[in-house]
Amino acid sequence: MIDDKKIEQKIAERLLEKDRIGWKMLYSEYSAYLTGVCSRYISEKEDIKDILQNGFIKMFHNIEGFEFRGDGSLKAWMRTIVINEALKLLREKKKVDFKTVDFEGLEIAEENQEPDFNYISKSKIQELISELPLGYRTVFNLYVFEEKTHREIAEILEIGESSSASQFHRAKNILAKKIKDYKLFNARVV
Amino acid sequence: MSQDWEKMLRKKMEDYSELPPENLWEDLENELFPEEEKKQFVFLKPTQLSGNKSYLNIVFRAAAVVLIVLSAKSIITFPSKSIHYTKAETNEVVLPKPTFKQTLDTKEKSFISRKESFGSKTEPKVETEFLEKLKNKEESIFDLPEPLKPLLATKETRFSLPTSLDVAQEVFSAEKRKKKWVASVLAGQVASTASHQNSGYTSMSSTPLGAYTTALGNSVLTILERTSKEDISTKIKHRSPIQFGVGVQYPLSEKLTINSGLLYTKLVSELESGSDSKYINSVQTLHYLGVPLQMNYTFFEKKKLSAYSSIGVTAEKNIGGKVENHYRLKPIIEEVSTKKIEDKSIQLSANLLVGVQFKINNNVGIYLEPGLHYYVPNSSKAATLYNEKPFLVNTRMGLRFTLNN
Repeated sequence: MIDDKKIEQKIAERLLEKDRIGWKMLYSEYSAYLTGVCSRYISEKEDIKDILQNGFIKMFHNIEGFEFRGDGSLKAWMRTIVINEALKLLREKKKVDFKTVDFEGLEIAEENQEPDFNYISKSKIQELISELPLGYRTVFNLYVFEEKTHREIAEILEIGESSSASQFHRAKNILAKKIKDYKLFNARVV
Repeated sequence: MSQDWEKMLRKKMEDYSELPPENLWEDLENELFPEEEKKQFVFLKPTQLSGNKSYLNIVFRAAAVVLIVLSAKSIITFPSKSIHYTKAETNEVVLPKPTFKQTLDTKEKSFISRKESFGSKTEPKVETEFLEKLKNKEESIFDLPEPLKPLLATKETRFSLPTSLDVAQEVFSAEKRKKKWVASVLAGQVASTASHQNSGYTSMSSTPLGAYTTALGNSVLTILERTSKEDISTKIKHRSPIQFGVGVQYPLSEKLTINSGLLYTKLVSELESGSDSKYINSVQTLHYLGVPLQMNYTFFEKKKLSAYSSIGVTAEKNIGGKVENHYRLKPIIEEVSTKKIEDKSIQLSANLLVGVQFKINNNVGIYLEPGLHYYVPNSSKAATLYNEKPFLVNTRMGLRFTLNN
C-alpha cells in the first residue's frame, strides 16, 4: 500500500489541531476498519453507529493524551476506544448475562477442533463469528483479536476465569464446525 | 501450536473493514465542528525595550504601521489565493495543482476500469459527473455520492480512488514544498555596553583634548586652562544600541532560509568630564541604516516550536548623527552646542546567532535570537561602542508573518 509509516504520525500530530480537515482524514482512513471491529461485537446497525460516534467523540476529546509510539499505535488506540464503547453498551443494555453459559454448543463441548480459516473469505469469517451466541462471541473476540488472557477477560466481563476459558473453548468448536459445514456445502473459493 | 490458527485468523482479519454507518460523519461533524466563525487575526506589537526619546516613538509608530500593513495584506490575500479542496472554510488545504492532478488522472482511469470489472450498478452519469467535479476540485473524495459508496467497501476498489492517505501525503508534501514568504519585524537589544574612565579631559574617542587645541572652541580651551592642575577624569559610556528592523525571508529548502531587510540602529554614547562646577558633557547620537543578510538553518522543529542557527553579515551606513556638548565653568561659561556628525564610513559586521521561534498561529510567530556579533573596525572617526567592543552579545526579538499562506 502507501508508505503509512510517517503518514500515521503526521495524521496523529495534525489531529491535535482539532480542525475539521484533519479529523475527516482520520475518519476517512479508519472508519471502515473500526466499523469492522465494532460489528464483530455488535450486530444491530443502530448500536454500531452509536458506538462509533461515541468512540470518535471520545477520541476527539482525549487526543491530547495520545502518544504516538510507532506504526499502528494510532490504529490500536482507536480500536481500544471503540471496543470499550462496545463492551460498555453490551453491559448497559444487559443484552447478555455473560455468566450464563449457552447450551447450544453442548454437543460439541467435548471436542477440541481447530478452525481452519484458509480458503474462506474475510466477510464470511466475520459473518460466522457474529452468528456465535453473544457471550461466546465476546469472549472469542477478546481472546483472539484483542489477545486478552482469560483472567483479563474475566475482569472485563465480570465472569469467572474458568467460565471465560470454557466459553472460548465452545466458541472455537462451534466455529470449527460452522466452517466445515460451510466449506462442505459451498465448496467455493472466494 | 494451538496458537497458530489464532495468529492466522488475526492476521487475516487485520484490515478487514466494512461500510461505515450512514451519516456517521455528518453527525460527528455537527457535534464536533459546528459552524466556525472566521478566525480573528491577533497580533502583538514588538515591545519597546528601552528609550524614552521622541525619535524612538516615531520609529516605533512606523514599525507599527508596517506591522498593520503586513497583517492586512495577509488577511486580504487569503480568499483569492487559497484553492478550495473541501467546502469553503477559513483554514484551507492548498494542493499544488500539477502533481495532484496527475495522481488523480491515473487513479481515475484505474477507478473507472475497476468499477467496470466489479460490475457496479451505479448510473454512469452519476459517476462521470462526480469525476468531473473531482477534477475541477468542486467535489471532494471525502464526499462520495451515495451510489458510489459501496465501492468503498471493497478494498480493491478503494485503492482505485485516491485514498485519504494519498491526500494526506499530498497535503503534507505540498505544505512543505510551497515556498512561503515570511516578513519579519524586529526590535533588538544589545546586551553589552562599554564604559571606561580616562584621566584628564579627553574626547569621546579617548584622545586627550589637549591634542585638539587648534580645533577646540574658546569655551573648552578656557576650561582646560583653568583646571589643568586638578585631578580630572573623563567618563565615557556607550549605551546599549537600540535596533528596529523589517525583513523578508525566503526559503531555499526545507530547512534553509535566507533573509534580508533593513535594520535601523541607534548608538548613543555619553561623555562626562570634570566636576559639577567645571565640566564637559557630551551626548553623541548616531543613526545607522543597514542591510543585513542572514542564512538560517532550522535544526529543530516540533509542533509550535522551532530552533535554528543563523549566520550573516550586515552592512550599515551612518545616516546621521549629532553631538550635543555642554560646557560649564562656573561662573563664566555655560554653553550648549550641537554639532552634526557626518560620517560616510560603512560599518560591516558579521554574526552568529541561535534562534527560537514560537508559532502563535498559522501565520504569526514570535522569535528570540541571541547571538554574537563582530563589528569590523573601520575608518570611522566616530567613537562608538563598536570601537571599544567589537564583539557584542545581542538578543533580538521580533515577529514573523507568513505572507502567502
